[in-house]
Amino acid sequence: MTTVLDWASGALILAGVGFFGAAVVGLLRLPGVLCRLHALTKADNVSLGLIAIGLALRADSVQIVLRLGLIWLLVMAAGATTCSLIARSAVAARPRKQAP
Amino acid sequence: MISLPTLYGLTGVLLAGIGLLALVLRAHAIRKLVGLNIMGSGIFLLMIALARRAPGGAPDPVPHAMVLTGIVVAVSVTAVALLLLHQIASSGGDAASTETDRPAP
Amino acid sequence: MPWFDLGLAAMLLWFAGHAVGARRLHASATVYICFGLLLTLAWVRLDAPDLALAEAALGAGVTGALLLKAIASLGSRPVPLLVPAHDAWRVHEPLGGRLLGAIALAAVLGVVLVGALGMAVVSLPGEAVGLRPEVEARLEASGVRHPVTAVLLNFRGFDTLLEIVVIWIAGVVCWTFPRRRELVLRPDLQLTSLVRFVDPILLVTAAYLLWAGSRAPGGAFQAGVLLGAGAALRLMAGEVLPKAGVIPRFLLSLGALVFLTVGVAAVLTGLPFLGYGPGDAGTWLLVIEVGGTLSIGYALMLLFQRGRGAGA
Repeated sequence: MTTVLDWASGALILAGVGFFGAAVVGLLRLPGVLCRLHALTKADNVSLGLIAIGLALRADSVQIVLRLGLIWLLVMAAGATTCSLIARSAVAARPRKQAP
Repeated sequence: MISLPTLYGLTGVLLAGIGLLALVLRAHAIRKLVGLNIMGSGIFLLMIALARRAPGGAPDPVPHAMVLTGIVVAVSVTAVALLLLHQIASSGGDAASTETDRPAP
Repeated sequence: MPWFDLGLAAMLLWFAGHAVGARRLHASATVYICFGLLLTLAWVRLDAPDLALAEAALGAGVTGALLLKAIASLGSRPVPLLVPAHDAWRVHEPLGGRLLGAIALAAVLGVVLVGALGMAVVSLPGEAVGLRPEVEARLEASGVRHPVTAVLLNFRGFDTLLEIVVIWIAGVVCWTFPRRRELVLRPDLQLTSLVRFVDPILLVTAAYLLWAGSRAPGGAFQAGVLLGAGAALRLMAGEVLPKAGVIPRFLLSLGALVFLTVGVAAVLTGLPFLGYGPGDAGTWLLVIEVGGTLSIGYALMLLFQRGRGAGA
């Protein structure tokens, strides 16, 4: 039973890292601020969630699982707000009459 | 096979070097501040790396307290420096120099 | 072979180099924040959780936010909430005519510093006992169970007193600057919603860190920084800034005052300055920590405010 949990948590963490890698590629290769933000926010939600669940499977107590969940929640809240602020600022600073 | 204290100690020394170079070579005051912070972080890393050489697992707590004080003081210094910089900039000075006299219009 | 640590060290150097070498100021500040977060990982690897907490909050968070704020307001035109990356910078940076001299000086200084310190690091013995046995021997009498807190507040309490005074000075310097119009931001709905969600968590976590500092990593500084960060978030969300009346002055000075009072009271009862009576140390340390937390939080809020508040 423990080996199944180990495999599952390892797979989830690797998947999370994969999503992070995809987000970094998106940051480097996508054009424009809005597209890059789109890629980065996915990293916050999905990959951190996968890593958190993967770590939660290895946790010793419920307290740690709850803490991981809280961390994920806070990072998502901060990430979503920051993303929205940057996007609003980028749109506001954009010169007029230009295609988004 | 390199031990953690040596590795992080050398990293700290190199960071201090990078910070020093930035402090001397970059003209903009904010970049100098960033360089100063990196130099400070490098020295802190050196101290804590050396503190980890204590045998038996737990590190030496005295450098930890000193570096904690150092981090707080570094932030205070940065904050006040940025305050002063903003004052210089808003009274017409150039952030790349310490001249505050405005040239005659 | 410590691959993770080698990779972390390489990334630290790479990010530091990028932070000082980036062409745009904005990039410099952002990369510095990343550098601070990587340094947090380094503190964890070096068994320094107190430092990791402080570095994440102060080194990466507060310093980064202050840098970004300063960069944003160096331009003279009204800026949106965050300066977009493609905006032109008003202040450009000449390297000056004395280029060769500067490079030569920097090279010499750099080589001397790195060479001397590097040789010292390599030539030191691999194991050094340090002061840990002395600290552990007196830990019982210090009033707390966490060695770093014991050193910080009891054994090296004088340094911490001076540190709190430094923070106080920073707050006072902030108050000497005239009021700025741009400080009063429009109330922002998104940030306000975030504040409503995050502030209670920050308060509870700060209180927990303050309380837990006596037996686990934590303490007054980490708790104070959380309070300050919450206050800074409120300022950015457009809340009204406090006036520089009596209560703000009292809050700012509380940490230093309490610490000094405890120290002087000790002298009046025959103990040395900042000496604690047997068995009392724990209580006094908690009192000092509460004062310190409030002062640090308030000073950080002032430093984000950068100037006197409305009505001052």
